Amino acid sequence: MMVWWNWTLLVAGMAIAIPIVIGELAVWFGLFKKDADDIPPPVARTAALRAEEFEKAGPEPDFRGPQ
Amino acid sequence: MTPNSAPAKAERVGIVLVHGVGEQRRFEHLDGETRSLIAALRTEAKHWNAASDTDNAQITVEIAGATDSTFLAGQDTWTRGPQATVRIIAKGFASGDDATASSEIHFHVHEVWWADVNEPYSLSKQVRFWLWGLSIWRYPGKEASSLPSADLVMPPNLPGNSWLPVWTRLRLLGLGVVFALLGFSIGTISFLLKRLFDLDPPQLLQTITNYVSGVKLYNQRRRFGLGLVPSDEEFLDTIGEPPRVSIRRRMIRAIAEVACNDYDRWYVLAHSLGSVAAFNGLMETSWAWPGYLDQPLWQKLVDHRPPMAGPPKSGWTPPTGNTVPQRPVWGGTDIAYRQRIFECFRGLLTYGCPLEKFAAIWPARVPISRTRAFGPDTVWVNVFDPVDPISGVLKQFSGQPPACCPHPQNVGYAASSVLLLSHIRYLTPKKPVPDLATSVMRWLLGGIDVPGQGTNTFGRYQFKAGDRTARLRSALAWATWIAAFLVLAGLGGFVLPLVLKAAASAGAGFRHALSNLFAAH
Repeated sequence: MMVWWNWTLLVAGMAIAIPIVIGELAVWFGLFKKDADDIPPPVARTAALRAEEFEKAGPEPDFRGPQ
Repeated sequence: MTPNSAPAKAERVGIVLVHGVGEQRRFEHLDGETRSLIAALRTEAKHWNAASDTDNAQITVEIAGATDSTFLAGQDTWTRGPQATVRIIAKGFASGDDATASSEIHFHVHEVWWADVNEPYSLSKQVRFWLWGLSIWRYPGKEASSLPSADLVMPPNLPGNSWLPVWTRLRLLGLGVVFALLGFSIGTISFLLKRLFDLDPPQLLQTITNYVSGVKLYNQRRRFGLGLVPSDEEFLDTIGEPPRVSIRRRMIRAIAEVACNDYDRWYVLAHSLGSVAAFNGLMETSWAWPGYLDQPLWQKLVDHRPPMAGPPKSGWTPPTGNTVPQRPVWGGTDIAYRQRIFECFRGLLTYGCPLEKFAAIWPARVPISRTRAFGPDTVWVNVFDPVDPISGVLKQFSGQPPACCPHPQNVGYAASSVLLLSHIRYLTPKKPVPDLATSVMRWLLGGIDVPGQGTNTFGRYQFKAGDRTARLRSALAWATWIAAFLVLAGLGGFVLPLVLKAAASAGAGFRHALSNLFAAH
């Protein structure tokens, strides 16, 4: 007959194992793959752009002028 | 006098409230948050009058009712957009150097409500939610977008710390562990109480499912309806598009309406996941804007003087291919003039904000605009509490020019010492003042520093990222999580043997009945 704390340990172990197993299975079966895409990150994601490099002229006329 | 008109002296201030994850009914968030702001304003009026020994500071609150109502309705109907739902008239509060005792400030409160975009509760939603909740730590990242005009935005930058996504995923794994424990303990106990004793315990798991599935919704490609094998059930104007488009549509619609109302200044106060919706709305590209609005509202932007929408600058080549949302057939090559739309926008307040976590794993969901739209007096204040696991210090949104996106000013606030409760207690009035609500109200009154800065701090509740209070509160949060883990595991350890024993007895009974059945033949 297992005592209460052994059951507690079992539950704690299962609670840790279940997300790991389900997470890996989800990746294995590609369950959520459609929710992402394979586009690599832009360079700026890993190497910070300077402010003047970051800014890009859009389609909008410049109503405010230089700041 | 209509709610949007005002005496010549009155300064008109727009407030856009955006709710977070949850099951909020229409105007529920507006009612709760405005209640806190009104309480803060009343306290402020008392202080103001006591200091000046007058009763100059006064407040009046008005609700804009709708002209139509529902047959046999249990509640009165409030109006929503283009005019504000609630107007708060504050008289006699000094605002800036030119203020007089009789000056009025009219706060026009709007709500961005998107809780109905969440999927209806069903068995399949539960299954999908648990599958997602247990595997979210391995949910694929979203680094960039290939949509047309995606070059006009840029994902947030990792601040030289490539471990951030790993750390965020580990914390999400911890969340998955808590979900599993909840299933073993509270979930099983609720099930047994209902099935064996016909009791109706609080629907804790259903509430958690509906609350947290808002986060799931933001990453989904489709919105599902009812049924064991559910079919797509997007809103009619979002068929074939992710449900987050519907959420952003609500935000952008509110921005357009507020901009057209010509407030002297306006602010966005966004809670929890609502801060992601608000941020998306503020950063959306000029080219994508028409896809979010209906033609009459777009025409209102075009007809506004000066125009807030119209043709792009000459020589600009529109991108080819479909955007998300699709551009409308009436759109031509028209674009939104974000510089004009945000001309009177003065501030974004985010509290309980998960943007840093989104930026770590799904940066393409929270891109920063690369085009200038905001003036130098537009600020972004981010209020966090380490006890609130959803909130966080924003570090990845400071690499761009402030004209593209203001840099967040992170301010720590002791919302509550109780885990999870801290997430919904930011604007709850506290004593002694000043608390966050008071500080926000002072900021909205004008002529004072932003919340948490200079003379507008929130005293004993305020701290900085990384200081002693922040570290202590972080330790408190971890200790509470560990205690919750032990309690839930202990509960599970109590319930599991009972369930196994009951299952064994039921199995033995079933086998016995089967053997009797076959023996009889």
